[in-house]
Amino acid sequence: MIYYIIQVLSIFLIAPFLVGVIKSIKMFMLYKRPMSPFQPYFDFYKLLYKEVIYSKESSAVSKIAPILIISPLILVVFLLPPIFSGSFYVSFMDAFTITGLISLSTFFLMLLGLDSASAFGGLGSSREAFISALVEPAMILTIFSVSLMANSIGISKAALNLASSFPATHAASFVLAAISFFILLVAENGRIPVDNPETHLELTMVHEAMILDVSGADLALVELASGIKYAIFATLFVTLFIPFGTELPFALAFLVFIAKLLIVSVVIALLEVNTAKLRLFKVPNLLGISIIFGFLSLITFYILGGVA
Amino acid sequence: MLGFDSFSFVFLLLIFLGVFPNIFYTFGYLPHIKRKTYFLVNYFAFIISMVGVVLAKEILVFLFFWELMSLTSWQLILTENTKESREAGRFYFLMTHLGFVFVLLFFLILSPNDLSANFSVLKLYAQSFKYPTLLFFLIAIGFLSKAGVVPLHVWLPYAHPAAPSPVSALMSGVMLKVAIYAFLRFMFILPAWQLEWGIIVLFLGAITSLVGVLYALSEHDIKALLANHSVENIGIILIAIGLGMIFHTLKLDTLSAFSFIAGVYHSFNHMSFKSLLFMTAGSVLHQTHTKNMEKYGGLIKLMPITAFLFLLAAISITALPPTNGFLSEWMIFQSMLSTAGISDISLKLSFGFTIFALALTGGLAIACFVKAFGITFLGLARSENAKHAKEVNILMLLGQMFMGAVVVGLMLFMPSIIKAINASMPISNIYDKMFPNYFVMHSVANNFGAVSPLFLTVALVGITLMVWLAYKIMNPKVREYHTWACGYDTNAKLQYSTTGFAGPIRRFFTWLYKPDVHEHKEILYGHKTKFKSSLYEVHVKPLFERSLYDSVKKAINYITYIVYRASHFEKERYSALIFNLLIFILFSMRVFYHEVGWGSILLEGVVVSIFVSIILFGERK
Repeated sequence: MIYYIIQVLSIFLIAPFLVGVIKSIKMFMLYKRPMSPFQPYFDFYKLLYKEVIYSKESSAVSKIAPILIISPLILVVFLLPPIFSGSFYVSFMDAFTITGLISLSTFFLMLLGLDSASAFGGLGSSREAFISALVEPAMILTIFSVSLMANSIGISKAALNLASSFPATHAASFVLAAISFFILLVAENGRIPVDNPETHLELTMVHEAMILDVSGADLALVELASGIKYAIFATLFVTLFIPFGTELPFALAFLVFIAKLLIVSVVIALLEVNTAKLRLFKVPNLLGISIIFGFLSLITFYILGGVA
Repeated sequence: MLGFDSFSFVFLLLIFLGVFPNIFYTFGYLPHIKRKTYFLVNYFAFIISMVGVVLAKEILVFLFFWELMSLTSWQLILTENTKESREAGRFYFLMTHLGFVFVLLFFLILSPNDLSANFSVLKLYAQSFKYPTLLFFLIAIGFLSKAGVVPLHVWLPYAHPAAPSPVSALMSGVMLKVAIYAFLRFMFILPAWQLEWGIIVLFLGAITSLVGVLYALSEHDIKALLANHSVENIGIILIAIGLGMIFHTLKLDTLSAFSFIAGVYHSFNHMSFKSLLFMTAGSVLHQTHTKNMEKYGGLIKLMPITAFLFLLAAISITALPPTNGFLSEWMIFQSMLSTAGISDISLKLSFGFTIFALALTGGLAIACFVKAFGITFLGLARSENAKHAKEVNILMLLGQMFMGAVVVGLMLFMPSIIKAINASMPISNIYDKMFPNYFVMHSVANNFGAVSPLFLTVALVGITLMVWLAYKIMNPKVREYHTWACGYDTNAKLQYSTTGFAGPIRRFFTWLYKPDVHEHKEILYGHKTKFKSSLYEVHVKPLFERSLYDSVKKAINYITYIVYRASHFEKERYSALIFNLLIFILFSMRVFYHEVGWGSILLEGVVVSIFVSIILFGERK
């Protein structure tokens, strides 16, 4: 139980740091003076004590949405797969519940965008609705494929199964599913080929447009939520698709886990620096690749004689 | 005549849960209706007919109530006597009787001599019937056309919104489920199911769900949007039923039972949230006097209870946890994951495609309900009517709240409902396997799927309250100010519209929608980018209506035209026709007696050709 609590707490604590790491690596690569990777913590603290401005046009939704955006994500962190084989995990919730909770959070985020009667909010919500509608099938297909390989839809059990007995015959479909999931990781967290988290330009923004009218402590919550969402996806990616290290003693397993998270973040940062943002109507092509890879992963699994 | 078994009981419960809140709502809505007696007589006859269909145990009784259900609902559509409702009524009348013909054929073929046969006798007849596939198709067309399955769904988005809102709620919420009941009831009568039947139903379900949600997204009439979502949800129910049929033919009894339960449970859920959505949409319509979503906005401030209940139903219909809609969709996904007993790779992959269709449907449904809730209730009012809306009267509110309670109740008491559903159908008992304890639902497949609705609810509410408390304790300073609109006045026209919101998705699916776009701009001083006023309107006519129905309409028009032409001669043509006939008869007589010569053939040929030309072209003037 203690390991479980340490894991949950550490994911909460490391979430802003991961976002900060990505940002500072990007700045370094662009020959800027990199900011401290701990900057998001300072930002969070600063925002908490700032004044909250509610728009006169908005309703109660603006007041409760930030809380409803973060609470499903907090719950998801408790359901994530264990990083250490001996630790406790929640066995009575499965992958569909996790995707559902993430969608619930996105649902309120989109409502928040529409509440303030500004053109930007609607723009962001509309685009987010478009992207997340296409993310959904890719996500479910990938999860389906992984659950077949790992012989369990319960995501914690699946991660442990993959770590203890890697399905070497199905390496091909494993890799395809991994690529598919990585694209989702990028798309769902609004990283560069899909959305640019750093600009406030109406041509490009998606996530930022929805939260343009959010300020102060509310903004702190929403920013923390997006940090946690990134940490959730990164954790899912490293536990399901880089499945080793859970058999080690706890301290080592924990270090391996953190290292894997950092590696994923570095890869994302490199990807962000080296690609340009796609036009909104090119994004379906990227997500289409993800969907196709999900399918290919399933097909190869069946053809190679998966029994599940 | 009427009988009562456990399957009837389950659907009787469904009808009761759907009707009870609806009666409150109807009496609140009544002042809004002009022809009150007419409406009430048909309304109660409609309810009685649905109960009758579910309880009927003999063919004639069943047919009587089935037809009564169609006729009363048809009359209810005509309550508000507008051009729109008359057209919708005509379409509905035609389609529902097309279905009735197939239902009647089913009974006539199965039991030709005895139309008052009991259903248990019918089962014996079915077992000795040689062509069960014929029966399957008759049932499928007959009952599923009533349920609104692609391609027989086109009437539904016209008919359901045309009725007064409480009746729309009954039609979408309850009547469609009665059609599903009838389909299942007579499917279980048929012996020796074929694998192909299940695949057909599965395929129809997948297509129906996608088509329903895609056309819902392109709507800006709020009730038509909801009606299109009924099509979608019927698709989801059929996916579950199709899976159940496939598993049944493959002798995977527990999985089959699981899928059937998922289908029926989803019927319950759809009844609850679709009724609630139609009621709340009806309240909005009642206050703003328009169905056009482009005229709404900001209603959450004026109608908070209605808005909250709409949000509850929206979360449920989009299958977001922890609501009942999520639970039934979870069950359907779980049954698709269990491909262990299937050896056919193509069948396994077809499950993959169905998962894709269902997941895409889910994603698009979220987009659609963000649109429906966001544009209707959030932001600023887009019309004068929306500015002066008030919360509806207490009876309507009570009806909505009861229905909200049904939505929540279906989630909280899920195990009991599933137990009842499981016991009611001729499937293996899997309740104990699904619920080792009351709190966690397990998938029956060997993949350890599990979900705990109660835990999920408690945890979500608990975490939300904790964050809220922390927020309150911190007590941040609050100021209110207008939304920043880049220096302009914040006004309703700056907001996104429904057309705009669905823009990216409409553009992505242009090949399907083929939208009619009307653009009109009054340009200032020849500048392309500066204009005084601008209008952008999009209208999407469903593909199936355009291709299937319009071409059928065209073909019928053409044929009737030819028949009309052929039967409306002038007298010259008549006499020419008669003369030709006479010559033909005389000629055939001579052929019969072998008295044919070349000379007479030539002569008669010339005469005939003259008269044929008179028939074709009429008399030259």
